[in-house]
Amino acid sequence: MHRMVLFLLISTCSGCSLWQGITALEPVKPWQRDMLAQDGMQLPPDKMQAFTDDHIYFSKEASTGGSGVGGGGCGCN
Amino acid sequence: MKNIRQRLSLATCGLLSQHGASATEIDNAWVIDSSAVYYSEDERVTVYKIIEDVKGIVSNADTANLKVVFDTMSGSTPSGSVKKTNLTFTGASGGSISSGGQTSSLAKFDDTRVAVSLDWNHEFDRLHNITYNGAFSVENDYRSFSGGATFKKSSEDRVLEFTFGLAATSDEIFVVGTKATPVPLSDVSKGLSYGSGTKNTVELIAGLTYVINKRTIAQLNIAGASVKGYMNDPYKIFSIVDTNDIEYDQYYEARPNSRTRTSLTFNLNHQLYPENHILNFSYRYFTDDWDIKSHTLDVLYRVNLSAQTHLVPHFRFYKQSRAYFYSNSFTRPPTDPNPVSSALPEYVSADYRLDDMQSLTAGLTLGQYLASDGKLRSRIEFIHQSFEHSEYNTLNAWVFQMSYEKKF
Repeated sequence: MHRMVLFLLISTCSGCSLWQGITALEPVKPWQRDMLAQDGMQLPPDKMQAFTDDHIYFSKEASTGGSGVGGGGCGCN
Repeated sequence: MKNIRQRLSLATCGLLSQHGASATEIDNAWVIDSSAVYYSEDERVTVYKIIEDVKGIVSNADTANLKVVFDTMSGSTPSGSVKKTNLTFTGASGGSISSGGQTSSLAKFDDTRVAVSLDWNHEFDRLHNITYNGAFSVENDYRSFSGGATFKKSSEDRVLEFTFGLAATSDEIFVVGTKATPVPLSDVSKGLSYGSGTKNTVELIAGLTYVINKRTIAQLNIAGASVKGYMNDPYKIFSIVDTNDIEYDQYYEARPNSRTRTSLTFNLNHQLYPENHILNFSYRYFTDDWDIKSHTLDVLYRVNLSAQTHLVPHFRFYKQSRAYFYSNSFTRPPTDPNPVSSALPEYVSADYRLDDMQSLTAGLTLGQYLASDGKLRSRIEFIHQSFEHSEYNTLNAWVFQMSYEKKF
């Protein structure tokens, strides 16, 4: 039963347009980079909010790192 | 016909003879992003934060980015001790544990923080660049200095980008108003102390960014860090409890003096067709040699309401396992004739952040592009944390943030 559900899920996802849109490999010419240059497509999409979140979760969780190196630490409570 | 050919030739020569427009002429030379943050926990910590981020093109190949952060933090935070106690307290502390004092399960504190960082990016050519970073952070009981560099190299077609970063950080930790830290695993009532603690961190990151198609970009980062030195929180204690879980003594925590962290992070941005809404997906797996393992899932979905306005719902899920030395308290019959210190393990901490925990965040950002190169973002977020064993087993927090970016 579980295998049947998994098979149906994978079949559905592999057929959906979102999955196809993400996985469709195609060369990108310089003049096709307009969408990639938009604010929301940056890594991260909003640096100010990402910086704020990093500090909040750094002080409230035991895990940190993964997006960059350096920056001032803190003795957060 | 000849006239047209001459005109075209003149126009072509004119175009070719012009010098390439410099970056300063093409882009805005300066970008200032200002932000105000209000963070509030239910009956616990309140933080006000101001962030100023100034980015400027210094030359055709160099960009400088200065960031200044000012925080004020106040309220109370779990000290690590349990609520049921036989002790009488000489005063709440947290910000100022005094000799001979005891601490209740919530300790008050009040602190301010100033942090400054400077990034300097230099482009060697269109495919290679390096960013140097220097930062410091100062609090009433903490100082941190760091420096590092991140090198990026793109493939000729700019489909792939490789990142390699290295940074070192040195921290100094002490109890506010002193240059001291409590002796680990010592009785709080004895008020024993050492000098300030120091901690050194070396971080590495290696990443690969891949442009899958004109609507999709993916990134994979592997990061590691080695931390050595004083890693205790000088205000955190734990309770010695009897068999009925009632506290009869308090000791300062002790954590290992080394930690190795590793994380694997996957980011994916995709612009949907035909709506052009944007999905930002991120997953991080984290592990360290304190036995902490965590999974972080972060999803943003940007809905364009118009060319100027967008809404961004945000969802984040986090789950971690506890550090191997985490314990909410230490049980020992008061009648045991041997000293408590002889029975304690090498490392003990009751810091709730090292417990088994889950965290959920839901938020919403409203973004608006304004006339004359301005961008306004307002957001509200709610964070709910739940802990498996800690004395305070939930934490609710609200975050309000308003940011305004202006290009000059």
